[in-house]
Amino acid sequence: MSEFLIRRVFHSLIVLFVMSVIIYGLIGLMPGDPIDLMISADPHITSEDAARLRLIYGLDQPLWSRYLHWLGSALTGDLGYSRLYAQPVWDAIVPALSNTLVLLLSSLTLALMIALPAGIFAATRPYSLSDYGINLAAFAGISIPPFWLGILLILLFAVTLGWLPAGGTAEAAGAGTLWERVPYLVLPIVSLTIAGVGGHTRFMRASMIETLRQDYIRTARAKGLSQSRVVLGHALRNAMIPVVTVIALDLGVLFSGALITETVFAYPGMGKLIFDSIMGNDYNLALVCLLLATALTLFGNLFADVAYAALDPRISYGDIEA
Amino acid sequence: MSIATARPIDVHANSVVDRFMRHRLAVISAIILGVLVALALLAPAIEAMLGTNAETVDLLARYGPASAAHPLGTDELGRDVLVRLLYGGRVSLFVGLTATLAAAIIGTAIGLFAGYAGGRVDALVMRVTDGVIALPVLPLLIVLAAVDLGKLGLPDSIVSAENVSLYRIVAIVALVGWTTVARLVRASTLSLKTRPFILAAQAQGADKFRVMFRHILPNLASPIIVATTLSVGNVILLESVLSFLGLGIQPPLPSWGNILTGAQNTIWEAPGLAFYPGMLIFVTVIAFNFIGDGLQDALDPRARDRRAAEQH
Repeated sequence: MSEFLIRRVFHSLIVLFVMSVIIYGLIGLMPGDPIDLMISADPHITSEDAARLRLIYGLDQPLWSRYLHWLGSALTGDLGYSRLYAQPVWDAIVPALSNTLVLLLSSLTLALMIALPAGIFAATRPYSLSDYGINLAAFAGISIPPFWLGILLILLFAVTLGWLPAGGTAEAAGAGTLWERVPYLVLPIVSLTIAGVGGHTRFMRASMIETLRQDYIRTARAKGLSQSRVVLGHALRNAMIPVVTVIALDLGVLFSGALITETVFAYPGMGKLIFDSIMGNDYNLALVCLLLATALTLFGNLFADVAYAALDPRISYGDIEA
Repeated sequence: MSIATARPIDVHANSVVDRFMRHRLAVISAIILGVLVALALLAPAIEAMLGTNAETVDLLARYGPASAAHPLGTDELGRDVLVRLLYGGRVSLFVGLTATLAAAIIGTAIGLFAGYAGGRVDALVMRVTDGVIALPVLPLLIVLAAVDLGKLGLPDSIVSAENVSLYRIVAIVALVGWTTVARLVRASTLSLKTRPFILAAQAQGADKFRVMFRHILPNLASPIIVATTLSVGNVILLESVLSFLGLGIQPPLPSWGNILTGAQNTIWEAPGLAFYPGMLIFVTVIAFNFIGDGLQDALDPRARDRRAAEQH
């Protein structure tokens, strides 16, 4: 177990390192550099000034040497300064990260509260009218463009009915208590929930159908147990194993979903931070945000593997590795 | 995530076509998609028939209501909504199909080679695949979409070409989209390569390319077709998201995603404009998903339920 964990953490660190090289390189390929932006902001900068500034910021160095410099300071805890937000990178990330976690955790909880019962219900009545209906709804949830869904929600609840704000946060509107924040959270959470619930429902259904086909379920039925005892008492625990794994694996997908939702609703979370920092040429911030997103996804994968083996005694850690 | 639906298998429906026809939603989807594709292909004819042009700006006719000349009205620049949607459909469908096809070809090649070579090569390739799967796709795509092609050393004729955003999107999606097919093909190749008919081919002196492409590949056609069809919808969604964020297809070239961007900006003045492009994306994506589901029933009925429980 511990050897497995150490090896997997080591693998994840390698992926993270490779990602940091790739992202740094890609960011170097984006149009313009910080000095270009300064020049466009201040017409008095001469080309000598620009050259001197490039020297000060180390931008005259080749990409690899800049990367090594960045890596050196990052490893000692100095992640640099965000030009866009005029504060250290970490200070810009912390509030955004907490906003995103609120969004992700509440929509994931909500999605699972709908998806798991719906999937189980459909699986116990395969090919029935209700199964058909649940399947159709799940397909619709998977296929709906998430940003369009956001726009439709804004149209209905903000533009037409006027019940909820179209976007932003309570802080921006000059209020900040928990209660005042809720209206701003409703539409993003609903939007993200609808986007996620379909996949989980279909997966729960498939896993439950597969489980209900097992011999030990036939045994349980033969003993005369009621349908609910068979499904909830005997099948559910086994059917949940792949579902838990997929939920963990989906962390990265969820993060991408949050990016879209946050952009549509102007919600100041990690997704919007990533988007704004890339668009605004804020190298330091973009790099750390992207690495954080990667690390989160890798952690999800790691957690999925550990959970898989922990939940299913038939599987040893060696099997996963193979 | 699996999009497979379990449905009872009718032993009497023998042929592939029969089994596909039994999946009613897939058949309806195929018809709807056929109509959409036909309309998109006929866009220039419809344009001529209406006597308008997709790019004609008419500021006096902004937000026009539906009329004989403009069946769906006009947008914030007075352009015909219907014709722009049809041209946008050409772009979105083209990107969806070509990018998926490119990803499938890359994935098939990688999976075949890794599975057939086995050993260290296989282990390394699969580690890389796992790494790519672990990446947060959308943030990475945003970075890739923002890369300055000029700094990559591409010639100016390509960088400033009119439709460069189109091919860039196809390339980007293919670059990250090959993993599903690669894993599928690799797993099947591993199990196929020890089967007697492959050993027979090798014994007859067939070289490894012949074994891979003549003997193994044809046996993988069904799962590849199913997986590819199922991912067309995802790719169209991805294109629309990137275009919506302003990083995909660049205006004035219309795509369903970037038409929606314009529509969100005018959501207070003309809420209806946001409806059509999103609806078209939705219908197209769900149609591809149902068709993929139907193909799975038709081509691969036995593997379906097993895969439904394994895949994600």
